[in-house]
Amino acid sequence: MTPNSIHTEDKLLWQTFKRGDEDAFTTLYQRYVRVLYAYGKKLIADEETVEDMVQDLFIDLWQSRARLADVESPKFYLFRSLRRRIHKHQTGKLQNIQCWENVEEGIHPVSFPKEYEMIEAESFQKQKDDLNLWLKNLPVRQYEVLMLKFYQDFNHEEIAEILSINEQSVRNLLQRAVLKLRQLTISLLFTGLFLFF
Amino acid sequence: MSYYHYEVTDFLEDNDFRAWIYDPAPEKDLYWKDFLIRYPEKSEMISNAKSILLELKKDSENQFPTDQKVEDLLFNINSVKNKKRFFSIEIFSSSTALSIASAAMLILLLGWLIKPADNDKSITYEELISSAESPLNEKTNNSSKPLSFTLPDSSTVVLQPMSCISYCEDFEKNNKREIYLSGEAFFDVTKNPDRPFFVYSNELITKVLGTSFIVKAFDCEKQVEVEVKTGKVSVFTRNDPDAKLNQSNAELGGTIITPNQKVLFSREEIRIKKSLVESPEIIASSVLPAPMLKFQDKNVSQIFANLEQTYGIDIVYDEELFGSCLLTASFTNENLYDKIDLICKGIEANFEIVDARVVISGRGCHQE
Repeated sequence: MTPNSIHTEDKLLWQTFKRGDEDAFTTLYQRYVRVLYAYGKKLIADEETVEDMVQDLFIDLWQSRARLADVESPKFYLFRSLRRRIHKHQTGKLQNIQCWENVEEGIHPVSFPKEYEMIEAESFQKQKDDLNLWLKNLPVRQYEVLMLKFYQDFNHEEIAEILSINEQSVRNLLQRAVLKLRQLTISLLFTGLFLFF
Repeated sequence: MSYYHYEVTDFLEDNDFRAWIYDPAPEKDLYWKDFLIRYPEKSEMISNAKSILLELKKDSENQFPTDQKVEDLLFNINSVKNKKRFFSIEIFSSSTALSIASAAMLILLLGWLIKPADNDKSITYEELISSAESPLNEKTNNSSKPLSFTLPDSSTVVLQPMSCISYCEDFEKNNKREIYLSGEAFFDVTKNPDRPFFVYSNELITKVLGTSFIVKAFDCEKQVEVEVKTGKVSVFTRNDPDAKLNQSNAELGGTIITPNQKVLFSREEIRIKKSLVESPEIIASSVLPAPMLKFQDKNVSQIFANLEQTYGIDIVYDEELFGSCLLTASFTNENLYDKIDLICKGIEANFEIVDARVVISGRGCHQE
């Protein structure tokens, strides 16, 4: 199925679900529960809390169906609802009340000694390992934006809404994440060339 | 489109590229293979970009719940989703805080019901009757049907199954009418301001002069509930410092509840919470105005005023915002909450029940 047809089908499912159709509701659930759960799990370590949140999200969705508006993207709606719940949960617990703008992003610097790279970078696999390491060590906010954009396919505007921040902050986070990647891949390239000659 | 100047990040940003990685299809493969043949120097970048995308995917999929978990969650959702929430109102507001709060309440409520009595401050029916000074008559309903009978003062009691009450043989002594209750009962009390009527149920005391009401107080449950049908009832706890005073005078102290209101007393938190009953009914009265059923371009404040009077409830809203809203609608046999819901839809507002009052919020109507 192409992304476009999924999109149209989602919209139809949403409309049918709003009229009280249980099958449409279950289909939406089956379609998105896994990615939502995985997303929640990335942000909250406690499995039970994530389960409760996902569960409540769908219960509330069903109970308020008559009052819901038609939406362009049910997936976006679900992600946004879940993210806001998580945000409430975290601020409610007085943890992580960090303003997005002020988050210290340099906590996990990813830099490899050049010599180390020269020696080790010969293998193709090694590069991939480095990239994965880069990904794993990204500050959680940058990782979240990266994941929402490249894996979940949301645009900047949608990500801004999901995270309740402005679009410029999304761009900044993305840029910072990608900047490190660029440095990393360029240095990998150079070592590649160096070894080649 | 030219990909020649693309870097890794540009590939990541590219929708077509991502579509090829996440959702491979033969025609896309063809395109990208052709691309790699023409620009072999890009193969490393493509490979890196691909590896990042696949890693993101793998990372997410690693956190996927098991199929069993997916089924379990769905089962939980389905078993709760059609039950009305706490206090039987479907409240929706754009703020999710409320829905989280009501879900939390539901969990709390379940907690009360499931957790065994472990509070040493709790008082059971047995303890109550053993502390009574004079011999008591006891009525127990072990059948499966409600049992109705008349008390010596000609008040009537409808005792629900699994419930029992006790009262003094000399019922009206000391100018007090006292009943000990375990379980659920409806009381229709004959009016006698000189002899207030008391219901002792667990830690809660309900005091009335003449009215009808329901008390639900099972020893095993974590909360006691009092609902008023007609008249006024005063409710207070045994450890209320004013309890003695409330018991001795003819005034109604403590928490006063009126028709369509109820109190929930949490036995663990020792806290009284006032709310509306599950389905408020129109109060039958000859002095009150008749409920409005049809209205055309009617001012919303008039409709609210009518609901307030006919149901004996409070509706709180911003007169400035909603005063100018006009509404055309007709009611048939909707219950109170459905009616309010309908009105709210008409004026694009939300409502919630706070402390036995209906609170309306929204942007209001502004005449252009």
